[in-house]
Amino acid sequence: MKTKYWIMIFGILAVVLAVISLFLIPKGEAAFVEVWSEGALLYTLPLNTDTSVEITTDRGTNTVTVAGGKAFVESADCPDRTCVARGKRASGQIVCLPNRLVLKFTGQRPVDGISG
Amino acid sequence: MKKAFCLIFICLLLAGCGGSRKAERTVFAMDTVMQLSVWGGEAEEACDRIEALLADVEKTYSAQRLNSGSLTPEQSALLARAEELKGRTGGAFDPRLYGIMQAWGFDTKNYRVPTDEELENAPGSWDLGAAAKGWAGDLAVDILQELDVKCALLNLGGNVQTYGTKADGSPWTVGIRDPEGEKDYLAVVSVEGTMSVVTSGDYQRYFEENGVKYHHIIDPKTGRPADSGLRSVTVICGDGMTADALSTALFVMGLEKATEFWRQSDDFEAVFVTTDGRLLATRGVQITECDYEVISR
Repeated sequence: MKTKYWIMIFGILAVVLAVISLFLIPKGEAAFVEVWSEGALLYTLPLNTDTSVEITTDRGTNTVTVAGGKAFVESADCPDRTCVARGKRASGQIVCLPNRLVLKFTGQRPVDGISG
Repeated sequence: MKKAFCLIFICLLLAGCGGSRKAERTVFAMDTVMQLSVWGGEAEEACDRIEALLADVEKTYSAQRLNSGSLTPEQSALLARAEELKGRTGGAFDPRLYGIMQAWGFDTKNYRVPTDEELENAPGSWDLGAAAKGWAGDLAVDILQELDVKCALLNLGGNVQTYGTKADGSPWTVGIRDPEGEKDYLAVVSVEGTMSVVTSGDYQRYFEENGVKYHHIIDPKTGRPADSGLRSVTVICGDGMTADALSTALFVMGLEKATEFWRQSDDFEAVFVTTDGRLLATRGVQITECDYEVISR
């Protein structure tokens, strides 16, 4: 094949790799996971301390575990277990829609209130 | 077996009465959302009464009512207090800016940039928007006292009112919102007992037109948004209405004049976030989670 085609192929490959690597850049460290159940904040757990909590409501039960700096839903009795399949995370959110459970990751120490 | 059940039942009953019951309420009032957290005493009733109070304040002290021509003694008393605060701040806090707020469309959210003429001719109608939430906090504290509440934290649309001492004896921690909105807060101040923490910022209410940002903290001298080099001012004070009015006044004054003003006063502390990224706090503030400059007496 002509040289210029090789140059084009490598050029496109380079751009694709650059874009992919952008997504791999860590977004900044979360230090805590907030456990929200039915719209209320139940726990703010530090990610550097291994622990496990069970959240039971009229809708069902989820077990949230913190281990190795990440949080995950270890077990759940919801129909599809999407929350469990989300795996171990330290950013973004994990949601169990049927049981109204939301795990949010936050970087800052919790405070009693925020002014402004 | 029956005896065991009775014993357990009685123990559970006693445990319930011993602990400090918590009541939580979300209230939509005064064009914002408010969060009440109350512990001990008649916590639920406190939430009921504070919720009713906020609805009442919204109606009774709206600009429409205050400018309707006939005032109750309570309304007159509040306006008199507002005039006192205007005097104290050399006019930087002005309770008569409703005509100007209307010219900008801040009352209806139909925002527009008024002409110089419109601003000059704007009537000096009453508007307690810059002090009403703080004052509502003071009234809420009266209710908490009456109902023997152990402690409480009320977030009245961004105005934080603390009451009493937390069960574990530690101080209340109040974050100061990041004007950029990147982090939850820029710094944390610790306060003890019943205190009001109020922030006025250029990010709270604003609109943009032709690439220019117009925020809601009006400089009474110009009738236009204050351009004082500050993004936010947080005032910590035992009196809610004072905290609320001073946070607006100090924003209008700018860092230098506000520092002078603080040095002449003895009833509040303040934290400043400037447009060039500095964070400063007056000497009496207990502040953590940030690098900051101290303003000393």
